[in-house]
Amino acid sequence: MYNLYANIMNTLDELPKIEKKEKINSRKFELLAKRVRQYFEEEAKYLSNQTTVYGNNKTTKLIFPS
Amino acid sequence: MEIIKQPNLFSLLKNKHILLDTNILIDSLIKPSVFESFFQELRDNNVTITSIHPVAVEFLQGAANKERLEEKQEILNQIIEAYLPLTKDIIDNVYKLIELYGADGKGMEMTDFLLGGTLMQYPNKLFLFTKNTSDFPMNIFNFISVINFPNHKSIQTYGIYMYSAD
Repeated sequence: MYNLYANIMNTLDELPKIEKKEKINSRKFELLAKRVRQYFEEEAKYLSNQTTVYGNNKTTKLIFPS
Repeated sequence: MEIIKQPNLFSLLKNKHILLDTNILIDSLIKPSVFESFFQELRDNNVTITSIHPVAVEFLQGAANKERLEEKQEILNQIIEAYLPLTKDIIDNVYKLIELYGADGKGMEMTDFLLGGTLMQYPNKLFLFTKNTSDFPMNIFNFISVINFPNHKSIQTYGIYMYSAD
């Protein structure tokens, strides 16, 4: 997991340079994306059930465009 | 279908840094082959793909178990090359933005303020890539380019913004 707080107090005058650009693994990316998209849809469904209980529309950010 | 972009987009962005919003990461899951090619093209033009941790949090939150969390994290690892730190100066920029936005800032998400504050930190060098074309007004930020992605039922529109200190 990322350490979300490690950099908060650091300063960064210059943007970081990535000298050695790695190629994106197309096949791996596509397979992962397909699964993760499904997770987002399930999370949206879960939130929409929560909405019924709490009456708070929390689903808008997770809905995929048609 | 492929991404429709301004012909000189890559020459504008060459050797620069791009800052991704959460909506770009989520939309990349719709048509991964198209977005993957676009990200690769950015890298081939020596554009460094960055984001900030609050964007990663928005993307990762809600994962039902460790395996799913790790898979979401792997998507981020594949796309994002560097996370920009949230410095004190960026937080100061956020407070400036609250003043500049006035009443228009009422409904804005914290992450959007932080993205705006990060853009202000690196004027003319860092470019925001977002689908949220209503929260980065052109009286504060410079609109640089529009990118369209025709999906089977609709056309998704994305903006590229920059902050200029002038």
